[in-house]
Amino acid sequence: MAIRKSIRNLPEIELTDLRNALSQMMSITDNRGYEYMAGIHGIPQFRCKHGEAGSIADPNFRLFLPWHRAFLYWFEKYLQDAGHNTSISVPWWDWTSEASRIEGIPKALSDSTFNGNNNPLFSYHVKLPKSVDLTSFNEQTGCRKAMEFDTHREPDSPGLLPTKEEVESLLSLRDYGDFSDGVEDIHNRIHGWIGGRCGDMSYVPFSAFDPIFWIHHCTIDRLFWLWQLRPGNNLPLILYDEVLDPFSLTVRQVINPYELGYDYASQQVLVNGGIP
Amino acid sequence: MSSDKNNEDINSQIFVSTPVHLDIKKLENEFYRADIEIHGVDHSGHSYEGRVFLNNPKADSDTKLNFENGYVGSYHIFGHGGCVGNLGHCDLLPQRRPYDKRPSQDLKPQYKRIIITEFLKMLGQNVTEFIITIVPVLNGPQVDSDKESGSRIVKLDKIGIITYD
Ligand SMILES: [Cu+2]
Repeated sequence: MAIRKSIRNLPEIELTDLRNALSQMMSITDNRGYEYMAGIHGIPQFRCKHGEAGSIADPNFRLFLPWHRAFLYWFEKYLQDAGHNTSISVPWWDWTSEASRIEGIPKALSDSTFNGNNNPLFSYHVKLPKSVDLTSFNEQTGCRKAMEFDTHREPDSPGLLPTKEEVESLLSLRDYGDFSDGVEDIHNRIHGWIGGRCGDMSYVPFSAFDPIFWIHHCTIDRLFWLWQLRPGNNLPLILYDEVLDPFSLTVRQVINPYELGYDYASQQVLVNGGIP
Repeated sequence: MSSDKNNEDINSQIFVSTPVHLDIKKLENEFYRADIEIHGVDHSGHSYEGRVFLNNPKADSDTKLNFENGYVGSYHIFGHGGCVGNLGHCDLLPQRRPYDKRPSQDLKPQYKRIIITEFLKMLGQNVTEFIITIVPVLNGPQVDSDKESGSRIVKLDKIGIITYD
């Protein structure tokens, strides 16, 4: 069982393992690599599901949460492969914490280097495929995106991050459609808070290239799980047999994180039991 | 109740709806929930915060976000920033055509809602006409040119108020 922990509480050794696995994954250029995985969401595959995507006209037909759960699970599996370690997990970032509301993005993610090496949690070097035409993007946004770039962020002020109260009022919504739309909106807000005017997180085609994308979606997946754990909260049956393309999983198969081999904890402290 | 013709000032990015008529005192039962519903919100372009105001058509990006100014909440758009593919890449395909088992694309316009239950209960005691204003605020620090025309930021199909009892 992989335990997904808060990035601020991650023991140094686990942070190093995570960075090494991520660097390794970033160096793989085939279908097990970082670029391929990020490319499922935006450029070039655009398989992501937001809002009413796939809609049967029903306010409960929302694939945003289960689709991104499958996506993150898929990513984590390849990350574990790259690091040759099945206990490696994607951490989450609690933007409501006091530290975040002072410091903003945690240092583990915002330091450009660690021990003299590039910090793979800070940025990723992207080479866009030839199929991409940036003319309309640059015209519309006023940004100057090139075909090759290092992902970057333009974070807003930490005091503008969502509060604990906002998250609590989201978690107290009883209806799945309400909750999904509410959590998706706060997710959009964080994308914009991190990316600012021209940062990669602000736009669907580029966002998944920024390593913070995975940490952000881990936070969102955790909120989804916290909501599921409250008595009486369930996913609507109409979603169960939907296929979460391109992953070989249906919604039914991602309802329970335990069945996917992970859980959430704020921290984990283990000591040796003395049995060899 | 919804309104589909709107007073769009083409020189401004601010969306102001035509009045939505709703007399809450004439409702048979007291409602337990009221929402502003926004249908068909385009997310193919800019990423932005849509600040929603009730009965404050003069609201702009400098307006303080409080009850007195009619601020009822915001929605957030995670946009595509325009189209990065070849010609036709971003054309909207009709959903679920017969025999077409392919999954839908992501560009389908979205549905947004702002819960306004308490606000409507208060405001509705005195008025029966509601004007909904949406002030778009682009991500990051604001610059003067944001307020000018250019490609339209807020694009939607229908907007209105719904109550549940
Ligand atoms: Cu996202």
